[in-house]
Amino acid sequence: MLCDLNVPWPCSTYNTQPTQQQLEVLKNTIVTLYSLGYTHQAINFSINENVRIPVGTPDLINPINIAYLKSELVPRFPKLKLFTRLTIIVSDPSKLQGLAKIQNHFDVLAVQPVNEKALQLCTTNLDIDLVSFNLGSKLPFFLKHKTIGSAIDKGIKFEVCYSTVVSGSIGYANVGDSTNVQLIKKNFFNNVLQLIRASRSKGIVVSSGAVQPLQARNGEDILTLLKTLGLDNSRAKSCITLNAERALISGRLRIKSYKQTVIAGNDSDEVLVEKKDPSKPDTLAYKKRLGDSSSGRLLKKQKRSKD
Amino acid sequence: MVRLKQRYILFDILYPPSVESSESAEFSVSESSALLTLHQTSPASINHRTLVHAIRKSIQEHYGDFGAGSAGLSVSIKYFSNKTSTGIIRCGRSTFHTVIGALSLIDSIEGNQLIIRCIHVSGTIKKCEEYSIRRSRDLMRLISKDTTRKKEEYVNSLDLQADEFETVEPDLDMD
Repeated sequence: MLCDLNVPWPCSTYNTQPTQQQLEVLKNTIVTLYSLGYTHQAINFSINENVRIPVGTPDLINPINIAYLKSELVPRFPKLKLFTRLTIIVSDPSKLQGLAKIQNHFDVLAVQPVNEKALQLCTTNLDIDLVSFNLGSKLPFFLKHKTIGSAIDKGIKFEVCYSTVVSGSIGYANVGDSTNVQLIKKNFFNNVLQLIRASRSKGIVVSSGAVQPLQARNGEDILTLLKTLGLDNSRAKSCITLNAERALISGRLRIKSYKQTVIAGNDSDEVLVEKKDPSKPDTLAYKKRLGDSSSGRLLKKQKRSKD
Repeated sequence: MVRLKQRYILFDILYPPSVESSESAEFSVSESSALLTLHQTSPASINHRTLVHAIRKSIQEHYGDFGAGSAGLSVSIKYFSNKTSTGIIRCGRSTFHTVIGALSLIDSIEGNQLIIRCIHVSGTIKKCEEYSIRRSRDLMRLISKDTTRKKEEYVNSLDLQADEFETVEPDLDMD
């Protein structure tokens, strides 16, 4: 199973609705990714931190019409699983007080910090699954192993979005001449290199960010590309499988569980992991791995020393 | 004597639906229609020569003179079929990562928008052929869920591919 955690929703404000053509392109992108093997895909809604979120009316908080997409696509593509994701572009985390009210409406919660302070505060204080950076422009700060490493220990993953580098002529249409395009690609490689160094190849999620079908790529090929940059060979595969899956699970545990560890009931409606043994309850599918948190690792160690 | 080591990359070309075209609505109708659109036959403008040119250009663009010299010059296309849009590239063993990386960064050849996907990497061309035939069979099984005229054309071309493979001579580069 492969996961793609970033398929952008065509609108970036609450006031606009996507046109029929935009929806068609989105559906085509999803189907193209599905044909490339991505069965779990998250539709990404990206906003600035200043945007007022309609907290008063819970129905409007999530603008992604996931029910429509599911009804259109899932009957035809039975293995496809769709999720919703919110990305908030953050420069001052203290403004993000209402996060608790929003987070139950999205399956995955991500932030895109624009400065070092925001990155630090987001990873320590906020309950998020994913951190993404704008890889097309030069990061205004240095990624420290200490910050990134402690975030990864908490279970937060870092995202590499490859649409910046495979956009093609259409994707770069509003960028300008070829020197700008080259600059974007150079920045991408530099930022990915920084991220790989700071994270020691751990906790990286590779996702597409494809706004049109042309930008979809085979995951293995992108991993090979990143391997030429120095991504660890043995940890590469988990960038599109295990790490992405863990980000999804931790996001869904937030909604459906008690304190992100235990889940009760037999909710077969939206199962993330295929049930292997039908006699066992569904809770297994949502079980958090011990190695995902620092206390869990201590427990694991203690257990091992007892044996 | 030591044999000169190579890697053979099996790739296929996918044609994603373009944003403006009228066909794009049909694309997501069913799994087989999506697969049939992606696995179209390639136009005649895509051939051995233009493919090698596009690959070398992509390597030059993304890996510079160093990449073009070490990886680009050793690239050659051993097999390419327009009917199935499948092909085999031969390249140096130490640089095949670079070649795959450059392949994934190509987005158009001769004005055709496409995705190049690397399916399999092997040390011998024979294993690449076997894998390709096996994969085509799986694909046929997937597509044959519903019968259309397009499907029959595609199945015919796949049979042709199997025949063509038998005529590709095994590669015996010995030093």
